[in-house]
Amino acid sequence: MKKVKVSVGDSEYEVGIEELGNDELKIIVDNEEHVVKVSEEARNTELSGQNKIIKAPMPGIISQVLVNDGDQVEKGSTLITLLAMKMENTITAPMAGKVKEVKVKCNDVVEAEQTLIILE
Amino acid sequence: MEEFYAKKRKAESYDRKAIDRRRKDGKLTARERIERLLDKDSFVELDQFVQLRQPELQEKKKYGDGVITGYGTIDKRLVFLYAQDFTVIGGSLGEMHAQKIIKVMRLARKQGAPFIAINDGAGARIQEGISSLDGYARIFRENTLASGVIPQLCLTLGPCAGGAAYSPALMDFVFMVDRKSHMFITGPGVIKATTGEDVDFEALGGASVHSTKSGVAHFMLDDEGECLQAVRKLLTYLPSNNLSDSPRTNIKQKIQLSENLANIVPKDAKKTYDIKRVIDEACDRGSFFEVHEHFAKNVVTGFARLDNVPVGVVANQPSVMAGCMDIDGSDKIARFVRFCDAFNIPIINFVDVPGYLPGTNQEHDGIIRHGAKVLFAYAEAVVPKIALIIRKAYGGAYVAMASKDLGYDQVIAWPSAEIAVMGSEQAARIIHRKEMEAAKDKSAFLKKKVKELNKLVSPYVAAELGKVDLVIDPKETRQVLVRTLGMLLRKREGRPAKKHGSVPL
Repeated sequence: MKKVKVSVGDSEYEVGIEELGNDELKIIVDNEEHVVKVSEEARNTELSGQNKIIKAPMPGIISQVLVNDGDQVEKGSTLITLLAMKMENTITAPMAGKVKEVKVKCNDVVEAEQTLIILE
Repeated sequence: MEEFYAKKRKAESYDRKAIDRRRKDGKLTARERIERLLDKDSFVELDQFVQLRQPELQEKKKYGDGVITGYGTIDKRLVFLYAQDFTVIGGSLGEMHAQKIIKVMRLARKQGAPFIAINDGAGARIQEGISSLDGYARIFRENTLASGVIPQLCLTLGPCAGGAAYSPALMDFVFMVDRKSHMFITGPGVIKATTGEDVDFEALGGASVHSTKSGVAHFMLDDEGECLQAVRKLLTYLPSNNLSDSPRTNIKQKIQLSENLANIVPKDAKKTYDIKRVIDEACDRGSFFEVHEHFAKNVVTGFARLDNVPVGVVANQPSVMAGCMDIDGSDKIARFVRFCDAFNIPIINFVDVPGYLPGTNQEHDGIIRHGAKVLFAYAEAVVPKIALIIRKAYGGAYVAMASKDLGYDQVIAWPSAEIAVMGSEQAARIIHRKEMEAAKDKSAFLKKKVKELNKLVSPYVAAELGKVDLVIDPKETRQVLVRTLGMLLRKREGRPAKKHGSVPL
């Protein structure tokens, strides 16, 4: 169970958050439990709100991995090239940050929406 | 005369407190919006003294009944419009409010002048019950009758919920302002009550959602001022009605060669680039005005001019999802092409498309049904249709975007064009599957076969069959497009008499 402080207007609440899997979260506010579904946008950002998951836009083969774990990247710099639809598609960083984890290697076959890289 | 001026002052007055609230929200009043949109002092207000009839609402009634209607000019061309006034019963739509709107819509259709709706209202006026609902029914019917006769533009500058959201959807172009406009059929309250899902106005139906995901909005602007300017700009490309010519600009154009074009498009066909740079280079300087900029970015649609003549541009975007066709991209193209055809705007395709996006999602969500709209729209269109094949034109996507036999008047290809059923490697693996299994050196065998098949892909094969009319040096693109369009402008083509086709919706 993760505890976070949330302020709404003037009042502050201590909120407990637990991941239930299946994109569901258990949230505890004022000793009341709520189960909520994580929206598609929120799913791409991890709980801390600091990480950004880079996913494959379409199925294909990884042709180049240009970064390693721990690398600093600029916004817009190329992270990976994905061979798909007869093209070498460049996957770029949507923000500046540090590469937390590279989840794929060269020649991997990936599905659409598969996680490629986690940035932080 | 005293009575007249007193009434007029009353009709044009605003509740002070309501205005202050609007200013705080960064919103203009309905009257200010009209004044900023139209040419100076051109507005003529109609039905200023109309009032609601519902007995229960007599205390709240106000001259105009929450909507300002009338006509005026934009760049000296007649337009009809209405603007809902949020300060009068929340801009809600009742019987007389609807009647005023319908009156100007009919005038617009009969005069053959563009119609502009400025929505900012709470939706149906609950107290007026069925009269309010039927008000929407009458508006939807008028929208439908006017469709294809006059351009209909809709600005959603506040809430636009329930039935109100369908009128914009029936019109040709929807404009929204970021973080100020919201559209939805069922609001956050109803969603919470029925499904338990928590969602706010912005995440449910904000401008950003509708311009990126749902495709409801064609334009998203940062503030109201920019939004009104965008409407004026769009009208510079559109004819007033389906029988009149598009407005031409009168700027001395340089029809120059462009050495730049060959550099924009990489020699290596696997490398991506931004197709909008090619469009900018080929069309009149600064004339490209993108429609649906943030929706289905793998295809690009918009208006531009070629030697001052407005054209509709459709293009594949290699830098997004390899420029492949998919469901949203198909919907985006089909809608745009049908609008252009209805209003006699010639269409130019910039083709670089590897094919349709493979995957169960696409198949199950109906790419066959949606992709069919593109074929229907192009085959049905009688306006001049030009296809420029830059690099890839594969499979069904070639048929949709560049096939002479689908009805393109002129197909023009760069020497880098590749036209085939599928990529050579994929084709070799299918055609020579058995031989390859038997081959000693599989990779050498494959290489040899790919080389042979590559010859079939060249634009000269298509040119030998007359399926490509012209093969050109990329630097001549602008010259050739201007000449081709000039040659086609007087095109006349009939269609068999029928009530209407059955578009695969």
